[in-house]
Amino acid sequence: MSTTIVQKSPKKVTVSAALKRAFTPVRLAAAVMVLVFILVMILAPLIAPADPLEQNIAMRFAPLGTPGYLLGADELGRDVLSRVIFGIRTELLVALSATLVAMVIGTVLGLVAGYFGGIIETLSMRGVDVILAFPPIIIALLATTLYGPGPGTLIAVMGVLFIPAFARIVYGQTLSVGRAEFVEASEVFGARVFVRLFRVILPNVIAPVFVQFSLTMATAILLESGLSYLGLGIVPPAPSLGTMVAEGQRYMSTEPAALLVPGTIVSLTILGFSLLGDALRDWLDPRR
Amino acid sequence: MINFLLKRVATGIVLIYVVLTLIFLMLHAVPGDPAMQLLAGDGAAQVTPAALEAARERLGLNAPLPVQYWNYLAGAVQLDLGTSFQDGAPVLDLVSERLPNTLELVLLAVLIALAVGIPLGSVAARRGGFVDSAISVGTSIGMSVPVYVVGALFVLLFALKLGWFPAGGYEEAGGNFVGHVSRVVLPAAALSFGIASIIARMTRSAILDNYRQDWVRTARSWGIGRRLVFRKHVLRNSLTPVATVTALQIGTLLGSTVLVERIFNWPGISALLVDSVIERDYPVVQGIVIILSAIFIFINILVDVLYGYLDPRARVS
Amino acid sequence: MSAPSISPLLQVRDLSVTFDAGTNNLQVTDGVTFDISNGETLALVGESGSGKSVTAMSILNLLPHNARASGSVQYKGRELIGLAERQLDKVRSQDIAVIFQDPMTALNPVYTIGQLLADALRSRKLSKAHLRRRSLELLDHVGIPEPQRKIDQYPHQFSGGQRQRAMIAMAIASNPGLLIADEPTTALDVTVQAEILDLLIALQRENDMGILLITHDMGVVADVADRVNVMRHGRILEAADTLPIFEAPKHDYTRELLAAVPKLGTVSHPRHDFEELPAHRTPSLSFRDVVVEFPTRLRRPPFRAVDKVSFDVFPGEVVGLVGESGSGKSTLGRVAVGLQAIAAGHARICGTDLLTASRNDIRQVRREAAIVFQDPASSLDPRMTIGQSVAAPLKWNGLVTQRQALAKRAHELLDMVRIPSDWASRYPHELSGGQRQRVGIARALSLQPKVMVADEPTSALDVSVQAAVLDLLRELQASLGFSCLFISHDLAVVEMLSDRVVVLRSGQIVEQGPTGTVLAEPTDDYTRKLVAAAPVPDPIMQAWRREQRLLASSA
Repeated sequence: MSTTIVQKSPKKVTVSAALKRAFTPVRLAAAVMVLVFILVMILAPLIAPADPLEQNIAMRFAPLGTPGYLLGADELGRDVLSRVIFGIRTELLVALSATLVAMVIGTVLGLVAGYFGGIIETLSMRGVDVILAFPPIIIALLATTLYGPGPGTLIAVMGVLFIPAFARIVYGQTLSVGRAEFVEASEVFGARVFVRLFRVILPNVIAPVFVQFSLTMATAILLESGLSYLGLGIVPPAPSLGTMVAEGQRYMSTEPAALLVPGTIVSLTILGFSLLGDALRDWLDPRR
Repeated sequence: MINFLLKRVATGIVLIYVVLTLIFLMLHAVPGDPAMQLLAGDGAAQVTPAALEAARERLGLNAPLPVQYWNYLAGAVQLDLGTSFQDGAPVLDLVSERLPNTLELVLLAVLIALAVGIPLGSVAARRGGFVDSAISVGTSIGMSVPVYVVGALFVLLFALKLGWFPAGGYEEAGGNFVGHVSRVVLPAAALSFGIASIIARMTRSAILDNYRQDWVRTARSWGIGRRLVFRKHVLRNSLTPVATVTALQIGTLLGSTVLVERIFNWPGISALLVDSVIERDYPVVQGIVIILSAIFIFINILVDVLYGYLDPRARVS
Repeated sequence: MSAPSISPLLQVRDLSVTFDAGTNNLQVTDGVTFDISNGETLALVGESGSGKSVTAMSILNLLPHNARASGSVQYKGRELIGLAERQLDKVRSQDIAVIFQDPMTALNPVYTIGQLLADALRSRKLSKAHLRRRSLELLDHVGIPEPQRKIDQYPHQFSGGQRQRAMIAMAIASNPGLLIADEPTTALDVTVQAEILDLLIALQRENDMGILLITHDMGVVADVADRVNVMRHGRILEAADTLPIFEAPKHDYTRELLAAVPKLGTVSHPRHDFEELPAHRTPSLSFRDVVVEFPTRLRRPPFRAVDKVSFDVFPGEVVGLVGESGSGKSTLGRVAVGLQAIAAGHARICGTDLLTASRNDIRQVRREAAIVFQDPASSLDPRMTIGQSVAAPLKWNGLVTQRQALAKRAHELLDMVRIPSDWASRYPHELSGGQRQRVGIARALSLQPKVMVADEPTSALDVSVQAAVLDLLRELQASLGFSCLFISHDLAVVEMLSDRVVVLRSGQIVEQGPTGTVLAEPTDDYTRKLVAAAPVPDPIMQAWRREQRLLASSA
């Protein structure tokens, strides 16, 4: 029955219509938010009104909207807006680097494992299973103990931890696409292995990778800020949203803004990337 | 079924072995002297040669590498996880004392998440429209607010402002049951916040997916009524992906206890882990990582068995 | 079976179905009107998109939620359109039953057949023991062997034919007055199809049940229908008794449809005189004792998909490879283009032995061999334009690298298959199934192959489209002179195209020889059964064949 309906309905869904359906107003707002966060990441030194480390004890806990302290000041009288801006920068740089590393490694791994099968498949996919056997934040803590805290450790650990997310998706997609007749056809009609993998299969499996990229960004920020909250990620006094939440929590009964401002910002970065991921999925996956 | 079970258990044992080896390798991949790094971090100047030697002795770093590896594995098999740098107590004792508290928290959080997530997802899928959109936005937020922010807000709101629950701490269940329960509710609820959202979304999409399946139309054609079609031929089939996603999330959940136990001062294994990382008590850190990974692997085996029960097609292969 | 037509069992008047597709509404059927009486089989025939299934599903409101039906459907005088869901459930559980096309997806995989039957029998409110007894009776009744054991198995443990039998058991559990059968045998092999149709007719006779049969297959119509409604674009074009439809179709479309159906036994001469082919010529494709094995689980012997198969395809010859699913025919096709390794024996393409060939040799030999796949939807890369797809082999083999030369060649190739060359920049999803298959053929011609493997090239297409594609293939073969290994399950199609036929069963050749001889006077029992089971679009002939078949099976 369904075939009848599909045949009847217009085959070609226009790009703009599909975009409109995927990007609901809420998600559009999220996409804009992500764009703003990325701009902040790039332009932080230019747009921050003050030095995020400069203390001015006289302005301690200046309320929101104080001239020169738009988002107030913290317990040491540092400008919260500047700290937030630089916090976003660190947060995103770390998350972006780790996610990129994981994406490249994971995609190639999944592609190769899915297409060739056999021993290559067993080795790479079991390797991925091993990574999944560690609860992420726990292994990050172990690495921090061994190699010391800081952005380098974070990027390396998360870069490895997030490989499975990409490898599994690409692997699954490659398994089904790799068996499709057009891939076999390319083999019969003379395409070499490299061409088959990267020119024929990859373009057909890449859409979910973009979706996963956005979702993994959200997870990376979550993990990174969690470690910073514990004081084991980005080391104070370097500004980071996680650290700011931890500091704000100490004064929250009297100064709720100290908790709420960084808490809201960090939640918004995560929300932005996860909603963007949802929108991309609905847009790129024609089944939904 | 027995075969399937044995196979899974065997895979689990291999996995634990690989995990042990990786942790061993991570220690030895430390640039320079692991003992130095562990004792001092970056400030190498303050470490006395005597303390360094003691640490090397403690970690068995003086033996040749293969011997170290062997001793380490042999220790792990006998559940001898070494002794704490701090007070020399066996790591196993420290862990077994606190592990039940963490498991209690995780179990309760999973139960809350299932009890909230599945009905929420079902309602979203069946009602559609505004209800669906509202739940969708709600779960997006639920997934995005970090657990430490949720925890802090819970403390601020329910403990400090409203005073409904204590702000944290622990009370023996045997001694003061009400006190125990009142102290476990907030951390468990904070912990379940994110996973409940994920379960709700998975439930929703699985139900919508299953509604489109041909067998639903077949069941409708038998005239067994809308409610039965939903319960037996839509919801039942949706449990498989929900179980899978829940299992995958337990790893994250175990990790999140690191944050939640700290916020609520809950004396679990994860709070001990954070303290030990800060104190650079490597044997304790390593022991806890091993135990938590083993628990995670064990839970995944359980879920695979559950999966086989939920989907008969999975039993054969 | 002319029943007194005072009050028909089912009376459909002016039934229209509209799909609510966002901003624009889509009318799928328009003013459909027909009657069915007790003991009568009415066939709704049409190609994909004709609205036949939608019509059938709207009777019990089994359509998706965005569908709206208007008009009137009366069962024994009771109006069903607009009936409350609860009332409709009563009709579904007691009066009208449905069997669906693909029993693999139409049965919930997490329940045993027994549990599913319990749902179908729910309205009876039987005790546990009584329920099991009744379920076993039903399974036995529809011809499932060992019901005691099978009742506790899951659908995936059943064969395709058994699954369809099980679904029929669930449908007749309520002794329905009317059975709606939506393409009930389309997913099945011909021999299984014949058995299922026999079963349906036997059940109909027992209960004087009306059957609404939805099908695209004129052979099936000729076999079992009493009356026929031909549908196209949501309307009924012609309604008549079965015999007149076939003998004197009134509507042009019906005539076209019937003309497009290949009829087994109507091609009298082989296209080439096989005897004249010089025996000393080297075959372009040669199989000698070819064995293909697939690994199974550890410590079990591998599964033999092809077992010591030997035959040749000579230059300019078309050899038809016939068999049911699981016969290994597609596997052999994959061997012929080097996609499937062989375990033993020799497979030679234009003289090169694939068993000993190096990787480079295989690349070379593939320039001589091309393939057309079954499913035109998945055999073209969705991210390439059809122009790119068609010319890609030239680029991949380094024969043509210049962009303009590639485009020019793409235009020529599309011309050959009569696709307007300015369509080169379109994507596969913008084309119909038949057009896509033409593009697949153009691609196969790009390297000017000596051998072409055509693996069920038309079985995913509607009959009218199939006829055109087959004609094209035949023309191209005659003018370009490549040899062709033509794989199909459809004997009539094979008869149309092939000089010789090879019949495969479970990986082994049971019979081979000139097309006319093998299909007209088969010597092997299996070939005979295959020929007998293939429905012919001719009611008189089909009635005779059915009689012969039933006699043979009862003997």
